[in-house]
Amino acid sequence: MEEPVMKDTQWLARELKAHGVSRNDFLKFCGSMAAMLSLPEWAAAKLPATLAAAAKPTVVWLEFQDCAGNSESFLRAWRPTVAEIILDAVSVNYHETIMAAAGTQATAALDQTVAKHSGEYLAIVEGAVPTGAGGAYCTIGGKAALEIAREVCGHAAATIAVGTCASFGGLPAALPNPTSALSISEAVPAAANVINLSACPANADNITALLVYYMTMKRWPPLDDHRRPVFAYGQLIHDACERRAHFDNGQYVQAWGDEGHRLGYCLYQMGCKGPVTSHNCPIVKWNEGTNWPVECGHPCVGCAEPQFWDKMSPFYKHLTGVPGFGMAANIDKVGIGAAAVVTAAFVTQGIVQKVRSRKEDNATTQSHEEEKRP
Amino acid sequence: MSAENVARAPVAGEAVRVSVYVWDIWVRVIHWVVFFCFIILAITGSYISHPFILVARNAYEPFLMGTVRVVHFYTALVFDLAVFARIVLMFVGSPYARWDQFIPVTRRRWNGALESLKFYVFLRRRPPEAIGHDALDGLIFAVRFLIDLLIIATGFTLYSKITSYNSPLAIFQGLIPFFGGLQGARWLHHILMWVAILFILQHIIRVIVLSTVKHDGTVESMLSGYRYVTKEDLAEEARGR
Repeated sequence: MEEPVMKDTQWLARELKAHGVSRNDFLKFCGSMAAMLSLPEWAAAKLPATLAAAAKPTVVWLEFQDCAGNSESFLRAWRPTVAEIILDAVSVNYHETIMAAAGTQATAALDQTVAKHSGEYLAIVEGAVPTGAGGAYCTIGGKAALEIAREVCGHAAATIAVGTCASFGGLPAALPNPTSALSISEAVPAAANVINLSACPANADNITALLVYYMTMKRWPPLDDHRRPVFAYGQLIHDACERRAHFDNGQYVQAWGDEGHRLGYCLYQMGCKGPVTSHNCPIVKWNEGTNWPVECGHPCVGCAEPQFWDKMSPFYKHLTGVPGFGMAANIDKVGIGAAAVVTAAFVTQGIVQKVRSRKEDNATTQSHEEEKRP
Repeated sequence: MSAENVARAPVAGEAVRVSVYVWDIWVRVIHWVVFFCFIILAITGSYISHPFILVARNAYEPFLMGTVRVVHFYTALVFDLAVFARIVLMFVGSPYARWDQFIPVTRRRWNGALESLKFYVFLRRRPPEAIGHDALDGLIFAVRFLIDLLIIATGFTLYSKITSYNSPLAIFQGLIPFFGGLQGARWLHHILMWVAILFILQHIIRVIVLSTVKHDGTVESMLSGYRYVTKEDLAEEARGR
């Protein structure tokens, strides 16, 4: 006799108990998640109970053209005792880097999940999808990445693209894009509810918060134009930066290791892309909230924005160069040169024409005077 | 014709010129508002892009960049209003401020542009006569207007992300992908400043050259409103319009 499908609402409590996580730790986790998602007080109060009663989502984690950096980031989820359970124990049925199964068993696990939970599971995708050379640049178990992506993301309830490669193509899609790499939303336009968690790598706290939001609210948070959650990508890095006061005051780092650099001045002149990049790095930070690039003296490179390898480089310069003058050409120098050329050309033209017209004037005056003579 | 209408005692053989009220007060006011705003915008914009004044460590609440940015934003609003007012004048202003001074629609204007071009490549000794905008000059200004509009659009795009979420200017966030992200908008905004500077340079030099070659008072006309044009041209203009 077939067992009736029961909605398991006690799984989280069981897991927490098994891992020895105290109620206090769980509440702290819920509090930090509520703060991260900017939930109002009443919603934050309801979060622990709702989360404890939430259904267990089934997750498959796909890796394509990537460096496994997002997996690394995810495995280092902060407050691991609770986040591990949310992330690690949420039935990650398939994850190439961390799963025990290998070869046929692994692909069987994936196929099974796709077949059994079609339209219910969440696909987390890391890495870009190469489409060049018939997909030969990235194959798993003999299948091209594009084929796998179409099959898995096409049947998922939602696809979470973690990292800039999966979100926008990232490094593999940077010019000249030798493998014709595409982001997940470009590669599988049919995929439902694609959510981009860009950044290189995606912040594990944002992945956790996104899953908590989905598990408790049963829907996806508001997204911006690039389909990134507003709670994490709603503000410019510049606007939440701790060095912002130095920016407004006109105090800048001029060279690596100079007095300003040691005093923690603004990295704007060192090419910081914080003013054009939307992310919550300054608030959430990395490595258990220890630090983030700008705080430790390195300018933001804008990794959460589309095509950042092409658009934001050179990373240590304010702006890209002028076409035809090279990537590193200084716009102002080219501009001054062009101004000099234009000035010289028009002044020369003017002087030559003036001399010519004066000659003509003199000639006509002379001839007139000659005519007047009796 | 009364005596004071004649520009000056004509050089023998040269056409007699009469003064014509070409630039009305609106055109002149807008011209200078745009000019001075542009200078302020270029200086503050250059500071924002590359802060050339650095503030000492122990300065008390200098807020230099913050102030420069605020000056840039408010000057930009005046600049934008002036440019839009000029565009409105293209449809409601005097005949010499109309849109057809910028976009040649008649064969005569196209020929004028060609003749004017000949002057710049030394195929003509004197530039062709025109009462309002020279046809080539008008075309150049049509391009300049497009560049101004692009500068304004990229500026609002950059501002849209730093303004308050409930500001009406936040709607310009929709243009961010169009310019290839904020960095793209920033790049375009900066490079277009230089293109606009090139336009201003060629404009100033050419106005001085035309004024001295033709003796038609073009330089002063942007203050007085009067230009000295040949009688023949005035008559032809009256027929050809």
